Amino acid sequence: MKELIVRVCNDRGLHARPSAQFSSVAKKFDCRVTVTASDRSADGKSIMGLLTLAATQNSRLVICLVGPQAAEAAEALLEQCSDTICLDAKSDS
Amino acid sequence: MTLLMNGTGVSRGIAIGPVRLLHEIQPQARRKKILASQKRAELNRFRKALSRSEEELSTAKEQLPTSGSGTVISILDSNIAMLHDPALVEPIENYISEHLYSCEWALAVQRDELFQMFDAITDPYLRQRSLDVEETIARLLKHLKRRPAKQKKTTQSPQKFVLVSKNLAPSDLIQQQHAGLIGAVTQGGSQLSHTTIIAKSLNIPLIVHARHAMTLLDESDKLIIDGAQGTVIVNADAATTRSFKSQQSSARKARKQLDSLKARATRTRDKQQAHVLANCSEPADISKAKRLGTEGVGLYRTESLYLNRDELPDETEHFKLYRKLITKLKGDPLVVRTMDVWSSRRAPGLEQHVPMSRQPALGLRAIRLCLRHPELFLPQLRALLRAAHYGPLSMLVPMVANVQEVRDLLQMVDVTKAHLQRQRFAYNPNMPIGVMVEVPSAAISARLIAPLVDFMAIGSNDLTQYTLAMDRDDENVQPLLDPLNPAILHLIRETVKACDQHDVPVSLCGEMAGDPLYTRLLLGLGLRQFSMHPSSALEVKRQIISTDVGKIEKIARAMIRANSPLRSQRLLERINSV
Repeated sequence: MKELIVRVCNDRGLHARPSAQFSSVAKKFDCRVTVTASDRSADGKSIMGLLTLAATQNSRLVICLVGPQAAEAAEALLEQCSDTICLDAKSDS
Repeated sequence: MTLLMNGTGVSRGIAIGPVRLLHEIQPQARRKKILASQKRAELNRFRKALSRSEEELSTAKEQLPTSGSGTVISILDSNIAMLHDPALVEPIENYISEHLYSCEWALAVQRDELFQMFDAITDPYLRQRSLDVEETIARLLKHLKRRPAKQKKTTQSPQKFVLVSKNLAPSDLIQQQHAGLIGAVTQGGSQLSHTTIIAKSLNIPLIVHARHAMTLLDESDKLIIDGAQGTVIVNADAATTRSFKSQQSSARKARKQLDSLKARATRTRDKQQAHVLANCSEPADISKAKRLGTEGVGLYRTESLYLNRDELPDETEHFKLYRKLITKLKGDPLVVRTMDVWSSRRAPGLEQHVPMSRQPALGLRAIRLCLRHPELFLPQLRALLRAAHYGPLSMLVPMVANVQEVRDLLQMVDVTKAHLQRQRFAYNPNMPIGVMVEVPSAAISARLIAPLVDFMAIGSNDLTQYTLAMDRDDENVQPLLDPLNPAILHLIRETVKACDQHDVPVSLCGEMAGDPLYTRLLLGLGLRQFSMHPSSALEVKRQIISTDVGKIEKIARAMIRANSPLRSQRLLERINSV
């Protein structure tokens, strides 16, 4: 299992395009991706799920990855979605 | 008979053409159950609707012009992604196979479920994204109904028309453009919708909120729509049509000309080199700014790192951001303004360190705060010095009020460099350090400050509000905030002069820099670097290219001595008409 603590860094928050990108990257890997924002969780492979998190700029997300490709998925998400999320200072990876 | 209708113009431009009405097919979602034996067939219907929807969106993607469609493509891609979304597909398949709902019913139930989740969202932009869900479901319902008629490929150019509809999905807009759409009027719609974003990037005039358009118009009507004003003129007379046609063609010409400026050097007629730079506040702004013709970032605001969070960003977070910006700029210059968080915006991480001030604009902020609480500033300073090792990054410090602050700052920088050296970090010992001139005292003592720094940047918005003692957020005095006030022009001129004497580059960032009305005046005052919201960069550049500084310098300097606002106005008109 791998856990990432990230921050939403684009100014409109996690809207449709960033969510689409996130979910499409997440889908490529064999692992469960759960994204949690304050009190709500969503399937990281679901664009609509991510949208309903209503994550605005600077909100903190906890991304929990479970499965054989968790580590690769984490790396790919951080790299390919770098306009949207950046690793939070307090994350221990 | 001529009729005038009003809506909200959300995408600029003029379109003239006959009406085409787009009637929506509203399939009724009956609460119909299917037989267990029909389960497989019903699931197949659903999957077929999914693949037809995807086909429709992919076709729209192929119909786009090859260049400059990045945003549009990513919107269509996100629509396609929704069709594969487990949050949509799985529950619907479940309703069909477990509860024996008809496809239509299953879609309606899931739509309501998803809408409920969106209703809880307070952020207006994110809330609007429920529109995408609505569109996705509507598209699926449409494709359940029937196979849409294959679009005939015609070789002759299609008949041009202005589309009038209740609502318009982004993909419809693209397909209809291919079929001859030159503008659109919708009864519903919104400023924040994807359709609006696409219309803007494809330069299609679009008016939303045109109430009753579907009932008032029919296909024998001829329309003129003006996307800037939000007006729809129905069956205009010949003279009106002519006047709009000439507006249309001159706007077209101007746009083409503006685009062609991107490749040209930013130089005045008398061969003085100038620069148009961008004000940015997030990484994504940078590629946008570049596309809009700017030559680098003249002001990158870092406040967003501090807002809406309980703790402060650490050195690593700062560093990663600046490196990312450098990479994106590919060698173009980057000026990062250090933190200045003071306004009503929420920055709980800082609030615990900053005493509440009765007048926060005049309180402990920016360089004052940094000098008082170095521990708050050091992570940013260290990160900037380190990032500057990787590209042309300069540091700009806001709100300087006196020379001593600059000396203290430079001392802090020296100590920090020594630390980095000892800790064997890669850093740039020669990172340029500049200060903002926005407090009148800094402008007045520019001569004393200039020899200490590597560059200066005039913040004309704050300089105006502090010089005139007028709150720029106070509606009552806003009309009095006159950037042509001779005192302001005097301060700008003195700052530029001081910088020239010490061979220190100076830029101006603030609304004045982005307003083509003031470009020549500023050139005449000696300014050569303009940093602004990138959307006006090319207009400012056009002004620069058209200016002969030698011819306007005298008038610009006369404006410093203008003894009435009326005279200032007259002189400005003269500068702009030379």
